Amino acid sequence: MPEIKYKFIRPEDIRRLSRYEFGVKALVEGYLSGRHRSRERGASIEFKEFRQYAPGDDLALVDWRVFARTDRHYLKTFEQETNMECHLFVDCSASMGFQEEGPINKLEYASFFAACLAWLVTSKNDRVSLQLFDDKIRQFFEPGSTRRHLHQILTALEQQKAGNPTSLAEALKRAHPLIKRKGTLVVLSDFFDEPEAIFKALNPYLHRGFRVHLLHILDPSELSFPERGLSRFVDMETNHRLVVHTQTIREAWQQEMRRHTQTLRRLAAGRQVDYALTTTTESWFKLFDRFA
Amino acid sequence: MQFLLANPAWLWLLALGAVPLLVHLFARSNPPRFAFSSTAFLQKIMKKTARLRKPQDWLLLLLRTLAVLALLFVFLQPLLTGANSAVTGKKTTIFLVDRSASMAAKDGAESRFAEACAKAGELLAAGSADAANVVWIDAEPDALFPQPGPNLDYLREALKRTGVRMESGAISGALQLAISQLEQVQGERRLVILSDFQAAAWRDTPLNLPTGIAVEKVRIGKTDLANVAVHELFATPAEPVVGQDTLMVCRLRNYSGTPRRTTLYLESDGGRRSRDVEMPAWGEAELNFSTRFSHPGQVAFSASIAEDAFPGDDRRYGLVRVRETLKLVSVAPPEDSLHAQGTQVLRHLADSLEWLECLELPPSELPAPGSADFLFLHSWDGTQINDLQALSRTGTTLIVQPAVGCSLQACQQLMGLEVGESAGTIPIDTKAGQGGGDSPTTPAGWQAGISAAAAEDSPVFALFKSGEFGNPAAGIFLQRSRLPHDWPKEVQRLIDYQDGVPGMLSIREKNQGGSIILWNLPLAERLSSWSAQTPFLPFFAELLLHHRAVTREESTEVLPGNTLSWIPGEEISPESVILVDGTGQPQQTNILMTPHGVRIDSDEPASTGLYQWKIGDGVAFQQLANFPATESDLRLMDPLDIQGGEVVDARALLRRAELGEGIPLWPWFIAAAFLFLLAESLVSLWKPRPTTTPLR
Repeated sequence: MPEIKYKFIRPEDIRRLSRYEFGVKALVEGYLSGRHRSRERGASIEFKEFRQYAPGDDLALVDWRVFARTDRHYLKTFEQETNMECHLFVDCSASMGFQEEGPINKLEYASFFAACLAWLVTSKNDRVSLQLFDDKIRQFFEPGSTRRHLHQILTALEQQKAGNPTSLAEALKRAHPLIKRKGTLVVLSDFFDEPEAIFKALNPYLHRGFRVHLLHILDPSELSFPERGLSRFVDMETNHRLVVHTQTIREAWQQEMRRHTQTLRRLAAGRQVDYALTTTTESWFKLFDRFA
Repeated sequence: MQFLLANPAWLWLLALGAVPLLVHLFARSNPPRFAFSSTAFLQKIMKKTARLRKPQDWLLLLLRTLAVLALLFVFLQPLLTGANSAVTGKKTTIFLVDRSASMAAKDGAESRFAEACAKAGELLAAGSADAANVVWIDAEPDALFPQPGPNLDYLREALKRTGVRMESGAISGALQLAISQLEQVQGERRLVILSDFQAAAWRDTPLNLPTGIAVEKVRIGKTDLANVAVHELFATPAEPVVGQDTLMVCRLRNYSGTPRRTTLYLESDGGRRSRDVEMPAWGEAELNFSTRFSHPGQVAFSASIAEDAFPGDDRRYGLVRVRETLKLVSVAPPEDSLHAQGTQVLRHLADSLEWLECLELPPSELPAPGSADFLFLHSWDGTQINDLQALSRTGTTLIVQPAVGCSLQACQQLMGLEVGESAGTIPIDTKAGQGGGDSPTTPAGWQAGISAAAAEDSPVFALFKSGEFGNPAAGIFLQRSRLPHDWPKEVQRLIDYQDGVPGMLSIREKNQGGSIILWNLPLAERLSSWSAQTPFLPFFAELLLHHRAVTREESTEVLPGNTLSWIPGEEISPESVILVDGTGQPQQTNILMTPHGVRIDSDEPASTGLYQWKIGDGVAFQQLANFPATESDLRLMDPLDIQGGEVVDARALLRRAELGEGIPLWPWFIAAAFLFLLAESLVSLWKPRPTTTPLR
């Protein structure tokens, strides 16, 4: 157990996370090497199928008994048994630092959830990786399951500050070659990006069999767009300024946000991707309940 | 029209109209900063709504600016004035107001005249002129001021007080009066005619005005009004004698396009009679009432119908002078004339007729004009033609028996006929038996009878149609003038000899005077046995009664609007005479000295009705004034058909007058400011309809 000295994981969180074994298990499809049936063929005791030899195949896998009976080369393949990998993508762009009605900003909220999930995964000896990104990948932590690895992740989360523009699609694209094994992909972001571009970047992961969870984190004011009269809105990412009378566009904003979330929800459903919208006023443990 | 500012010193206030623009720009330039997660969506929304929102913003800015400018203009006191208001000089307007009888017609609750006065008053109140005057169109046009004056209040009060007059309008005279007044002033001159433009009065009245005078025609009255009028009332004979059958003729006219039925009431000599009458569309009906008068003197009578929409012409008055006797003046022939006995015959004739008085005058002496009803010239030598014609014109019926030596041309000239070329005297035919002093006993003379050419309906022979009274010219005639057989058509043949020689010819004087009878039937007993015959007396009486002058006594009737006047005669003291109207109200009079003696005139012009000149309680003389018949036709004409001038609606005139003074526009600017603010509120509150799709 790590010492209780981290910002984003607290003793009460750990006590509460201890009740999420099943839910997390379902989420990560297994946490011990050899206890999870992999779709990859590999070395194990579970026979999968015979397959005709092709040049380049490992000759050690040739079943000589079958060759003796049929005079043909067949490979005897076994299902690979492995531990599970969870890949966390945390958006650290400037917009994630927005806080108005919630008790914490969006980045802190995402960090809390990421820290808890990382602890839960490593506590079952599964491996967890972390990508901190904005318009590029700020930090990447290889999958690992050790205490040291968890310490590094939690420390990194505490040290992050919101900044720079967002480009989730770019981050996913760049992270793809870094992730060697498939697993569960959890993206924590406010998704102020084009939904089509995001899902286009997710397609390689989906083709590789990743399970993808998109957790859409917003401040409540980003949904309600409260009245503040004529204001000069300054973009936290681009520093772009825009003078707007909130009264005149409030309903249009709500309509646009409604259209944006509906697009994300529709695209996610079409690719069997889990999508959840939450606000910083809600408990992040509800997300674990959602995955149970 | 011009737009003027009464308070231009505050024109700088208009600079404040830029305040909304400055506020708009200032408010947009420094709003509070707000760090937001992403403005990309805001930009997207702004792009979507920009097409709508930007025009909305500009519209709001425009409305606010206009509202502020409208309020600022209130302080500048803007005025709308006419295009000519800048023209300097005195403005003089004369209102030519028609107050003739047709203006008494009512289109609604008030008469056309009241409407005309009201409109003239409004125009005066609107201050369209610096000096003005009102000229009345009536029988004697006059003006309120001797020349246009600045006291417009007096004119307005006079317009309120004045009433319509039952007179015909002397349009040309009124126009001349107005023009003469306008020609004496300088500056802008205007003549405003307020009239119903009654077609009967205005049809042939062009407005020939000098240049420099603007004429505006304002039509009062909307449509032609239906009317029934007592058009004419008179008695025939105009001066009957006591006991004579007299017809009171009443003519009604229907001035409408539909047949009308009404009841006519005739009041005469204390009695009242009525008769229903139907009139065709635009037609006339005549009703005759027969009566006899028992006492000599002036007798008044009136005819009336049920009151209609135009009551002025529903009653008409008449006066008849009942004579006790008719005067026959017999001018004796020379003593040696065979016709000398004729005077005796006439004397005997007058003795037999109560209503006939016979006077004899010596040869060649004529009565004074108007003093005789009949003048019998027993042996006319063809002289004194002009004097005789003058007598005829004054109402004396001439009975002329040509003497030996009288020419045919003289007879033709006297009768007003075209004089023939043949010269010489009229030949005299004589039969045997004459000159012996005895009456003709032999049948060798001529016989005469009713002329075959005599009109069958000739009233002279009405008694003799049945044959009961025999031949009116029965008897034997021994001497006659050989008058030609052929006479012009206007000469009426009464009696002819059997051989066709005219025995009695008559012609009516062209100017409604007395008749002229060419007498070719000798009266003297030595020359005819006619006077001894039974039919002689009734024939002579019928002849006289039906050949009286038909001229009505004009001195008793005056036109409305004219003064009443009477010459009482030397035996009457003019101070003792009073004039009373039909209601018994005394009227003011003036006593004037004239070459014909003292004349008493009424001070005020006569209105319709009966007037009596009284001495004490006795009525010395009566006069009447009837409604002018030309005013009964209430058909209007389009003022455009009257040459000259401009047809203007009264409202347009008022508008022009107001423009002349300047219409204050500040209330309109306040209203406009409120409207702009209201529109600004509506535009700012307008938003697209929100969708109701749930967010999650």
